[in-house]
Amino acid sequence: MASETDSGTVHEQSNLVVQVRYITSTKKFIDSHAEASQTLASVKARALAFFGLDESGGKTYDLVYEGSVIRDTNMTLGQLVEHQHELRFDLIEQFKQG
Amino acid sequence: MATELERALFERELLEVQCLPEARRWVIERDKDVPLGILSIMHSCKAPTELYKARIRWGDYFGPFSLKFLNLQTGSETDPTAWPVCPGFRPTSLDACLPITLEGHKLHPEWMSSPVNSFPTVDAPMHFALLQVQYILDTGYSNRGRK
Repeated sequence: MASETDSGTVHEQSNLVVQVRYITSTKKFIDSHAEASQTLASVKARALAFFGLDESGGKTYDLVYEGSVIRDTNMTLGQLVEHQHELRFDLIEQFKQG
Repeated sequence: MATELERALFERELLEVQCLPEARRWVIERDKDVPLGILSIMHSCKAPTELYKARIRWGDYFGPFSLKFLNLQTGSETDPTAWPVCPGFRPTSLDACLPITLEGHKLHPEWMSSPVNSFPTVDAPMHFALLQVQYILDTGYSNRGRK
């Protein structure tokens, strides 16, 4: 499967490994066969479900990749990946300051 | 008073957190003044040379933690310049008013029963505290506190 980065470089990717760490949990969400066309919104939704979380009660969560919060969740894994085969995210609850 | 279970989990986590990828950026030591406490020298990826000494203490190990930043040289806990400026951190008040901290919950007792601001259920409190503080430093750091 081909994927294209922001810079326009096309990479051949069969399957990607996606890991999501929710920092309150010792478990990890792992998808060893993620497709490059999958959006980050989809990754986030599946990770929230895996950790038993939802945003309907008012709590909100962000995906963080390499120290940066993912703002555009319409981006696909293929657009994010460069040469690596594995993508590691953190799922972070957004706390409101007092 | 820390329970046997809390102490055992704390001891285990004190070893385990050293294996986190982020631990390469930390210098962690036990806070010998309390049963459940650590000191960790940390920095933001936005300012790698600006070092901060976080003191994290728990009364209830699975509840909000106390967070203070100490002067690196003197250990003073009353120095606003020892604090990083980040969302929720208040260097001049020497506290972090956030739903993860004991100080935040003391100021806002209503948070405990709030669906939005309640403290999350955590499997590994030390992992959570260190990673959450690191995340705040990396994403929200703007400057060093001033007197």
